[in-house]
Amino acid sequence: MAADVTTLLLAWRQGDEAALDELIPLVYQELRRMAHCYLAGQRPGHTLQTTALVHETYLHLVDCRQVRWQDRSHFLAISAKLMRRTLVDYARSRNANKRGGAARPVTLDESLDFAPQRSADLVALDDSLEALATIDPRKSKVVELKFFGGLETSEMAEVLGVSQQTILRDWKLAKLWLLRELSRSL
Amino acid sequence: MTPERWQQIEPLCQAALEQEKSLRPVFLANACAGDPELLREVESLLALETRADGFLEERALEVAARAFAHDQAHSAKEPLTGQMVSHYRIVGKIGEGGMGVVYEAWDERLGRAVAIKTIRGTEESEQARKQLWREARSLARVSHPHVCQLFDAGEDGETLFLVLELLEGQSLAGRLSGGTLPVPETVQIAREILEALAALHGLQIVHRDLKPSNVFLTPHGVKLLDFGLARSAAAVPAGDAQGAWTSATFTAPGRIVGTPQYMAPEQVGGQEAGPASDIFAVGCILYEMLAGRRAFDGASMVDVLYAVLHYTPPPLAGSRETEALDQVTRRAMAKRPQDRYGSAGEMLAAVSAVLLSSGGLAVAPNRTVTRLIALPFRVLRKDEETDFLAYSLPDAIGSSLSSADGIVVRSTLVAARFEGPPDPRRIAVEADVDAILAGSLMRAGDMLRLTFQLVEAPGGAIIWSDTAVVSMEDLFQLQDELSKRIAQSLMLPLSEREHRILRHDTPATARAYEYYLRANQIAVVRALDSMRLARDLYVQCLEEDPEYAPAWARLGRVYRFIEKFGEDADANLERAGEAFRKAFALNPDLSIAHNLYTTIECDQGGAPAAMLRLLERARFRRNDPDLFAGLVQACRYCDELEASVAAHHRARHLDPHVATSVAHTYFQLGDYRKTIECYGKAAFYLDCAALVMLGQTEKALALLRAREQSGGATGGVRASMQSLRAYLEGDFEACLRAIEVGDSLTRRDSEALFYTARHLAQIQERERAVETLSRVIDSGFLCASALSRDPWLASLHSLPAYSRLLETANQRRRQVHASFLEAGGPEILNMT
Repeated sequence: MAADVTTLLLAWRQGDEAALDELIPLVYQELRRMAHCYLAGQRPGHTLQTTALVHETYLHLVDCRQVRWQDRSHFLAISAKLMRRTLVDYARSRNANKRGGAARPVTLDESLDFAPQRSADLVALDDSLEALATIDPRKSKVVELKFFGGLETSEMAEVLGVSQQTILRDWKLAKLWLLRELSRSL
Repeated sequence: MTPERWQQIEPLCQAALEQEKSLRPVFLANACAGDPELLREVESLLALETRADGFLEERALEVAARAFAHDQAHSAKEPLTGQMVSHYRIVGKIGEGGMGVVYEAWDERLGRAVAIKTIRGTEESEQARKQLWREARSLARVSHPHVCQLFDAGEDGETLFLVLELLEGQSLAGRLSGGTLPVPETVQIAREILEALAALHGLQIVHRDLKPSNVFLTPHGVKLLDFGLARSAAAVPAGDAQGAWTSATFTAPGRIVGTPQYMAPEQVGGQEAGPASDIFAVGCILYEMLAGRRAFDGASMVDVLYAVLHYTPPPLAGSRETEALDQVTRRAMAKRPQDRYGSAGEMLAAVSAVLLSSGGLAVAPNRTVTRLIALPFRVLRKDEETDFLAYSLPDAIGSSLSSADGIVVRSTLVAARFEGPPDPRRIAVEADVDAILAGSLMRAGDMLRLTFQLVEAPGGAIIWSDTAVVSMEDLFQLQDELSKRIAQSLMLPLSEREHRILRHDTPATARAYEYYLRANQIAVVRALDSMRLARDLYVQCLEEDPEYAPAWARLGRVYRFIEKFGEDADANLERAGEAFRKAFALNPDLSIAHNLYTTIECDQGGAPAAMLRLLERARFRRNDPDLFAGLVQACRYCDELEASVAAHHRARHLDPHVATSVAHTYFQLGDYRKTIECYGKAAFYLDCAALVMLGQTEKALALLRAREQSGGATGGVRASMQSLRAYLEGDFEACLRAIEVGDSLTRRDSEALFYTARHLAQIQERERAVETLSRVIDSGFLCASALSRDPWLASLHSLPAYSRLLETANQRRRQVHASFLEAGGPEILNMT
């Protein structure tokens, strides 16, 4: 598998962004693994607790010396987008199958879990992010990189070419805007 | 919101967030002076600051994984109670099986209670899902009173759910935990299982997992559950797509799942299960109901499988019925599939026969009989050469199907009433049917373009429709195909025997079929000319194909008619008998032959034989109105007058429009009002004779004169009418002359002779009357009851010869009555 991912990444570096689609099964595999941990009453494990799967994969599977810095930033941005698409698609299909409310929506944080009428799911978040992108594309991007891509502040600063301070300010206001948007839509 | 507006809001928010909370209101009031809308926007965002602390702090992957975990927990063990699956609200869990959970639910749209069965997805679920959907679709075709009905199916995440009829009652497994079941109940349960199976097999569906826990007992009878959902499995054999049995199991081949106690040896051996495997399972269930123990059991699965493959369960003793049923289980549980009953219908007949032989018909359950009418096809473009098909093709299909026991086919005379576009509701009421075959016909060059529709009545739903473009040469094959298709669509449980009969009902050549169809159409008209023409056509048909039994039978009927019209009577009656004997030799099961032969057999002195033959057939063919109509005559000739009336009721119960000769029976019984009431519209003699008995001589006379003038009657019938008229007019000589003229014509018609004898007694020709009655009795019309009862014969009672006659008649009657009882007549005719 390692070889496959390296090949994929090299293909991507040569301009084939579609090669990243091949990572989708890996995302699903990780989803299942983590779900098993939750079901067994365990935390899903340290390695992935704060870092996105694709980020992790990247770090572990790619020989960093072969990849230029800009490539890495670019890769992180694309992987975040990929994660977003994959996870939102999953949530969307799940919601479609459970229309009528048999399923609990995918809640975005535990505190909201107890107030179902205020909870929002990944699909609604995705829609709101799209709306945010029309008025403030960078803030939308910050959320994508952090929430979906699992990027650190420093990585986001690199990817977006702004200061870490700006990232933090964007993150804070983006959350307020999204929360208000999601509250309205519910 | 526009990006421009956001450019105003965003810096204000950022600035405010950097301020102490207490200072913000003043700051914002100043910053937003003159723009209250801007203020509200900023405030509404800042108000969420505390709540936003935990928001989005977890990564998306973790969120999704938790949802995933939730789903899995959900489908694995969490009850869905209170939640919605599609538009069904789950009320509670009913049970749990190997593949999923069954819930009770409320259909919010239709407002009814249903059962929802969920089937858990598997890793290799795509294949399994396709298979399950295929199964759900095939079950969706099934609508049978003894099959748990599938209402809906859907997918919910990884769970496939089926929405089923919610049943009340208990499973047979539960019922069996209390020990053996009474024989009548056992028989009823077995019959209902077999009826359902016959219908399913007719749809190429094999259950594969029949066992007591899948047989549900409701207040309305048996319901079969779990079609192939309990186990998973094998693919349809390659290259056998059309005749393939729908696969109903979903495990990999060779893997054994579930209880193997009801599994047929070939299934244990890893072979594809077929209809015979279901028959085996029914055998096991029947055995278990009778014995109170499983036919095959063991401490371990290996032991059970060994038993299934090699063991023979101990024989059962008890009542005669139990022994007979045990025999049925033996054949059903034969190790080799080919040694078992050939079909569920065949086993059903065997189980039913056990019931009949023990005289237990009274407890026989009611069965649904499908009543079909085949309407004349609409001719879309007139064409002299082919128009006859409009009538005769549906007629041929109808009479072919009438060989099947699950169906009653309305006569073509009834069908002829419904011309034009079919109105299912009207036809359902007037013809008393559940299904209508309608069609159209158009000639295009050498080809015929036909359309067919099988329509449910009174609902009007189209069960199927089809078109065919065929040449005349292919027409007889088309009839065969259509008959089969209709039987299948109506889910008639056809036995092997019935399938064989259907096959027999097609002639060898197209020309033979064309002659046959043309003759059938002509023979509808009961006139000497048309009968002669029909006769010639049947003869030509039989020259083409001497083995075509239906043509022999119909030729026999035509000869009989010609004989009745007085033409060369002896020879024609002889020919009629010969034609029927040919028909029977070719196909002993041919219904039309059995029914049409009765009158000839009776005329030839064979009424007791006819009665016993028909009673024997009526054991198995409970739903053939023509058969019971035949019994009306045969029983009357045997002086079984009550039986005759009972047969009439049975015939009319099955077909309110069937013609019977019960009016003559009522005449024998001395019930003249009923005689008139039941006499057909084509009235000649009998109603007038009855009117006379009721004292309405003038009316009778007027009718007789009018009818003689219109000249409808010929031969012996005309002579009878003339002699009655002359008697009523007081002209005894003319009466006697008419009798003498009629004598040569009615010699073979013993019932007509009986009426003649009455006239003779009335005109004081007493010796001759007794002599005629003696001939009546000798030729097989027993009339013992009437000899004592009929007022017109009272003047003969003092004659010694009459006493001897009466004694002879009574003695024969006693003999015939004994055989009637022995044949189970009272039970078969539902006489109490």
